[in-house]
Order: sequence, then structure tokens, then C-alpha cells
Amino acid sequence: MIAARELTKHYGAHLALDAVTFTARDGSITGLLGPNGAGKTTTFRIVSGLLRADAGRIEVSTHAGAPALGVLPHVHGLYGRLTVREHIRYFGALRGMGEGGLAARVTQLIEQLGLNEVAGSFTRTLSQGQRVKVAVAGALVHAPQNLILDEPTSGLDVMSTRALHALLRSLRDQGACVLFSSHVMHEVSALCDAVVMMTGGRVAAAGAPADLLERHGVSSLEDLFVALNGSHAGQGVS
Amino acid sequence: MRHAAFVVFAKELREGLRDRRSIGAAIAATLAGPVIVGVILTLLASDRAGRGPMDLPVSGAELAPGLMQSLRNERIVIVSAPADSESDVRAGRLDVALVIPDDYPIRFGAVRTVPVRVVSDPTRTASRDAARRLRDALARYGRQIASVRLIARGVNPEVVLPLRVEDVDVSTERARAAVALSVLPVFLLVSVFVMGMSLAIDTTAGERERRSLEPLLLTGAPAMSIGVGKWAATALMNVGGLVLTLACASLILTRLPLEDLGVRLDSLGRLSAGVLMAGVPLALLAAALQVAAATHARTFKEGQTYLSMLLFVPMVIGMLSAFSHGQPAPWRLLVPVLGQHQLLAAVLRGDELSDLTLALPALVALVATVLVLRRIAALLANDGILYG
Repeated sequence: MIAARELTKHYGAHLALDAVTFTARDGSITGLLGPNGAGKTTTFRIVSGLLRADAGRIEVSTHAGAPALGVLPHVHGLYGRLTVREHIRYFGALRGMGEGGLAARVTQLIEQLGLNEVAGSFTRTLSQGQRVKVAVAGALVHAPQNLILDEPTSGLDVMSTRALHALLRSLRDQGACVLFSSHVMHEVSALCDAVVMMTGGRVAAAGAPADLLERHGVSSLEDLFVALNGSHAGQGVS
Repeated sequence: MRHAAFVVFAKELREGLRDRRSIGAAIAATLAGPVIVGVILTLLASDRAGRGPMDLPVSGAELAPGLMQSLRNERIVIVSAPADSESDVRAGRLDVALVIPDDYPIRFGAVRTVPVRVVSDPTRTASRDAARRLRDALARYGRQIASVRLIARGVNPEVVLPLRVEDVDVSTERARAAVALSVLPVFLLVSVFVMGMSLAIDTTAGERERRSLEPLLLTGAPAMSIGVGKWAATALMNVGGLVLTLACASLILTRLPLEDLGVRLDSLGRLSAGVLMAGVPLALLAAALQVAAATHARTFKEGQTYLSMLLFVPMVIGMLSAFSHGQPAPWRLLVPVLGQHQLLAAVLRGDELSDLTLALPALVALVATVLVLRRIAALLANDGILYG
């Protein structure tokens, strides 16, 4: 479970996060939505430990022995002169995984993500979809209880997007907590068990998609998004 | 489970060694120094020994048999001159020619000065050198004949020689070698900065530019471990550059006719040990400085600019030290790069070095390395490196 409590963050005089509070539960996929500049990425960075909040706190719970967090940042460069297998192993080794378990886990992820054919190829030779899969494997290699993905399907083709969705559902079904951001409303509708909508650094709405639609009297998440952000906020939606 | 620093080190080294283009360029740049020194020394040796047989076209050689014999004793081979020596020298077909006048026997027998003509083209190096060698030989013959004539007339030749300059060379053979090889320490200093340069940039500025630094930091590996791993890979490359330069220099020096320069190198093993003792600590410090400088850079290109500027440090210090006339000073041992240059020069000279002289520059370099590593860790731990 990932819980943000009253997160506040300033960049100079600009208030980027204003008492952001939400909870992403185990065994569910939680979507973090908002227009550009709403504070999603800042929230992710604070949750993942790369940024320090001015105020508030983060709670990341995990089952006994399981690693707490795996993170796929929005921009995730790969090491072009490493093979796919070496790249994933590198991240596992940095997470402190032992040789035996790491080798088996890397093989498992390569099979699970359909990377068998390119496992021995340098990552610089991969397609965009394959690159995202390798980056996801790097974030998952240590089998974290909680997974954060910042716009993971951005730039992916239909098949790669479907494969990634299937993986996220599989992780959810295994009890993982998945927190991800997206600009694609139908993706959020189809995938998420819960939604946190942010605007102007605040949480504007949070809950199950069906509950939110009912509560705000709209027929789609896109309508809700527009209603919460104003008519021109949709310009930030891709 | 491996330590994170070792994991980073192994990965960076693996990636670095796979960058064949950068490795090739670095090796070429590293080897250029010893090759240049080798060429210079070969030229010096051939110039000093220089003195292989030289063909000399002489017009009227049969008129001056004594002079011809004296020239032959100087390893000058007398050959018959073409009809127009001046044209041939002007055209570059001959370097030098000697013209003996027809009245040579008469004037010589009458104890009168005989004008002999040396035809040369001083605008050409080969012609200038050949003419100088010929003039020296003619002058020696002239002095010899003058002495004989004076003695025959009961005059002590020293009467016409109020001063005789004697050169007393107190330098040892090894010291002369150090003079001839004074540029080698500069190349050795530079070599510890060259080989790891590309790797240092790629693992820091390059990592920022291709946006792989964020996933790396998200692994939770300590910033110090990440920094040490990157530094260690760079340092190993720098040490490799030093070893390569040393091996290449050794190979060239052992095949050079250094004896012709009147010099003799110290035992190669001792020399190598001295160079490594001076160079390895500097290679470690150089790697730390390179990683720190490149970590400040946002792009690969910016990193290249910073590290190219850093490369000027050993170049400038090395060249100034090599050609300065100042005495080696103990305080220089406390200044990184300067201390190593003084040490390398002393090693090449074959000086006896105290333990303190050997240890001091190494100690200073190692302390500085630790301080710079702490700075690298602080940079990596600061979120400004990702979002600044």
C-alpha cells in the first residue's frame, strides 16, 4: 500500500503540491490523473524517494520480506551497450539480489514480457515497445510489493499497450499495489480500480471510477476530467 | 550478493570496453606520446652519431692528397665531382661539394693560405648539416697543418693558441638520458587523463543526457557506491592508459640506439616501478576529477568540454616543468600533477629517491581522491542532478 498524507512541495515560490492525500491499496490498480503541471510527477518523485516534500509524509507498506517499491519513471533511458538480459540483471544486482535468484528472475521476466527473441540483443537496437518492456522489467526485477509507473504506455503501439495492461492486471491479481499515471482516459477507465484526479497541485477527486461518475453526475472520466479542470484544461490531454 | 559499487564498476567497465570507437581513439592518443618521443630520440641519435660515411664530390682531389686522406679518416668518402657542382647543389642533387683550386700544390708548398670552396645550400637542412661536417673536418686539418708548420719552424703551436676551451660534462649518462627524455613525463602525465575520459563522460553526463540516471538512483543504491563504481571503472581505464604508455615507451626505448646519444637508461624494471608508483595515484585522482567534472555537466558535449579543459592541466604543468630552469623543490611534491611530474623526471634521471619523496605525492593524491569522491557522492545524492 502507498499512502500520501498532506504532501506539500514548493519550487521556489510556486506551490507544486498542496496537502496531497490519497491511498493506493494492495491488490488494486490506482490511476493518478491530471493535466500537465497538476503535480503527478512531483508526487511520484516524492513517493519514490527522489524528492523530499516540504511537509507531509509517505507510507509504503509491504509484506514481510518483500521489497517495498519498484518505479518506472516517465523517461527511462536504457544502457545501449548492454544486452536486454544484462540490463535487467544490472538493476536486480543493484537491488541486492543474489546471483542464483537473479538469473532465474531475469529469465522469468524475459519470458513474461515476450523479450525472448531480443534477450541477447543490445538495448540500443530495440523498438520503442521493447524498450519500455525492458525498463518495466528493470523496475520489476526485485518483485516489489508496490509498483509506480509514470505514463508507462506513452508512445507504445496497441499490442505493446495490451501486453503491458495484461502484466499490470496480473500483478494486481497477485496482490501488488500498482500506482500509475496516464493521459489516456479510456485506458484509465479500463484498467483502474481507483482513480486520483489532481489539479493545480491538489487532489480534486478520488475513489472508484464508478463512484466518481455517480458522485459528479457525469458519464465518463473524460467528462469528469474536463469538469474538474475547466473547459480549456483538456488542452493538456493527449 | 555483490556490493553495489562493484556492480556499478563491472557494468560501467563492460559498457566502456564495448565502445570500441572511443577505446580506439584513446589508445591512439595514448600511444602517440611514446611514438613521438621515439621519433625525436631517433633523430637525435642519428644526428649525434651522424656520422656515418658521407659521400663528398671533390673537384681537384688529386691536387690535395694529404687533405683527402684526412677527410677519409673522418669517414668522408671522396668521389669525383660533376662538371658543374654548383648547379647540382642548387638543384638538390648534391648536398655539398668541395672545389680544390688548381694552384693548391703551389700555394700549399709555398706555405700560403689556400682558398678551398665549400659549395652548399644552407636553406636545405641536409646540405647545411653536410657543409658543417665538411667545414669541421677542414678546420681540423688546417689546425693540424698549422701546428706542424710552426713546430718545423721552432715555434710552439701554443703561441698562436692563447685560449683552449675544454668542455667538462659533469652530467651522468642517466642525467643526459633524462634531458633527452624530458618530454616523456609529460606524455606519461597526460596518459593518465586520456584513457578514462570517454568513460567518465559516458557514465555521468551521458547518463544524465540519455535519462538513465533516474532509474539508477531509484534502485536505492547508495550515492557513494554509485560514485565509487563509476570512479573505479574510470580509474582502471586511466591506469590502463598509463601501463600502455609505459609499455610502448619501454618497447621503443629498448630498441633505440640511445648509446649514440651517450645515454643509458636505468634498468627497465626499476624504471617501470618508479613510473607506476608516481603515475597510479595520479590516475586515481584524475578519474575522480573527471567523474566529478562530468557529473556537473548536463550533456555529453558539455562533459567533453569540461574534461578537455581538465586535460590541459597535466599538459601545461608538464610542459612548464619540463622546460623550466628551476631546481626541483620539495613543496612541489605536495601539489598533485606537479609532484608527479617531479617524481617521474627524477625516476627517469635515475636519481636515488627517499621513501618520503615516493610516498608524499601518492599520499596527497589519495587524500584528494577521497575528498573528490565525497563531492561526487554529494552531487549524486542531490535531487538537483535530476531536476535542477
